[in-house]
Amino acid sequence: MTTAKRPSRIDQIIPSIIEHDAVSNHTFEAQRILREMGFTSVIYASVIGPGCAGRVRPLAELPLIEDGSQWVLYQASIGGPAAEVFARHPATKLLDYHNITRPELVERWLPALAEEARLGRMQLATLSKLCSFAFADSAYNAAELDALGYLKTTVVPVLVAQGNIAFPPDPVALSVLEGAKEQGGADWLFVGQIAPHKAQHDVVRAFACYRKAYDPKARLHLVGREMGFTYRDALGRFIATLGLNDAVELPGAVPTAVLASYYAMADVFVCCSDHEGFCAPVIEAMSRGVPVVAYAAAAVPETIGRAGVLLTKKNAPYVAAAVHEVLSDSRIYDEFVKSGHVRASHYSVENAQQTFRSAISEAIAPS
Amino acid sequence: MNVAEPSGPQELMGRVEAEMKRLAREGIWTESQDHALDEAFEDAAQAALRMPAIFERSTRMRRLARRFVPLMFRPLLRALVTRTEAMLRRFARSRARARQRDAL
Repeated sequence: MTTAKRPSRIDQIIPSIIEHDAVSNHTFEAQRILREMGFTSVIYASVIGPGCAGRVRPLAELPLIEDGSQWVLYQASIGGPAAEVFARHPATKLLDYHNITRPELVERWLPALAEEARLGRMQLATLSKLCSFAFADSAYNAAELDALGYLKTTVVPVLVAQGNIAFPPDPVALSVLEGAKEQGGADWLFVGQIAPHKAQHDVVRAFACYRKAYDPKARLHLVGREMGFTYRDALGRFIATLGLNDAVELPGAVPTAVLASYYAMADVFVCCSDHEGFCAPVIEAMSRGVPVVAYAAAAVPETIGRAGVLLTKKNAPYVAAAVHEVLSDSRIYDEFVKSGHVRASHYSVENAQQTFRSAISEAIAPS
Repeated sequence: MNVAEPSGPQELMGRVEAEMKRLAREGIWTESQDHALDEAFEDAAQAALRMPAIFERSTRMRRLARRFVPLMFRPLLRALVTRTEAMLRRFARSRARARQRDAL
């Protein structure tokens, strides 16, 4: 670790970058703020996904400026060769930790991803000795860094781009969803990658119970890109087995305006994830006035605070009953909508940007 | 699992517990239905996880067939495989329908 002079450029390294992804959006937003602060800032990635070409450079092009004017910020969310390039680079190092999924949660479905996660956790431990300063999305993530020996850690919430929160709904998608709503029934929503640790199958279980016990016309929308084929396939088979093909929709990754339509029409946001390093969609839901019912795992309780229903178990009737209680009592419903807005404003773009600016200023301040 | 304390208005959490018990008491949603869902998801998982293995196996079989099955018998063999697969799919669908009836 070296004590460095004030940098003129802070480049970012990210293992992979893709559209409609919280960590990727955070990286773009961080770049925008760094540039606003007067730094030159370029994003370098090992894997550049669709929609990012032209905004991100291949990792092999990362320059090496040895006069101390270059710092590098690594966005850590999975293991891979990018961490090794970061470790070898002579620039002063900053790390932003978005949490790495526990390998055992994905091992059965995505063994390769489990290996990457395992590698990521090992690399994270190694990098603790090389980074002068680290950021974490949540206190939950910061505690993991502290345990690994990171000396200076500060919490900087995910920088959700303003557009994601304020984007107007897509009129076509909205009219389709409105058409379905006219037939009656509540709209459940969960947004996140279709992945085993997000446990969409537990949402489906609770939803099946809810339809049987309370609302046979209810619909469930599971929005998000599939992570691997097998879990998505199992989820599809499970939905078919329960006879819910007409009630459960898996539209995949959708453009921001279409996502806004889903939030606009949702009656409740239900999260049964076993692992979340922050859970940005919860903030998006609360900011759009959708009450949240969630399983209280990992960083979810910290993100929601007291502005939603946190459940200590997620068996189907418990989750279904919680959703029913929220949707059938207008006083409770309004209370959650109101407290959700307050909570979301705590994570507002302005606040998060300010926290990020302060963290960067603190990191570059001469020690 | 790192699970925090429940939150939400105390009165609401009490109502959720009571409501869950009512569902079980009145037979609207019993523990056996929960188990049926567990089994249904496990079956779906097993089937989905089998797919890559079947694909790998059939690729190996095809390679093997190319080496040992004379060219003139290949259309016949292909038709046989197609029919067998269709039959297996029909069987899987009927099992899924039976599970659906049991689950709900």
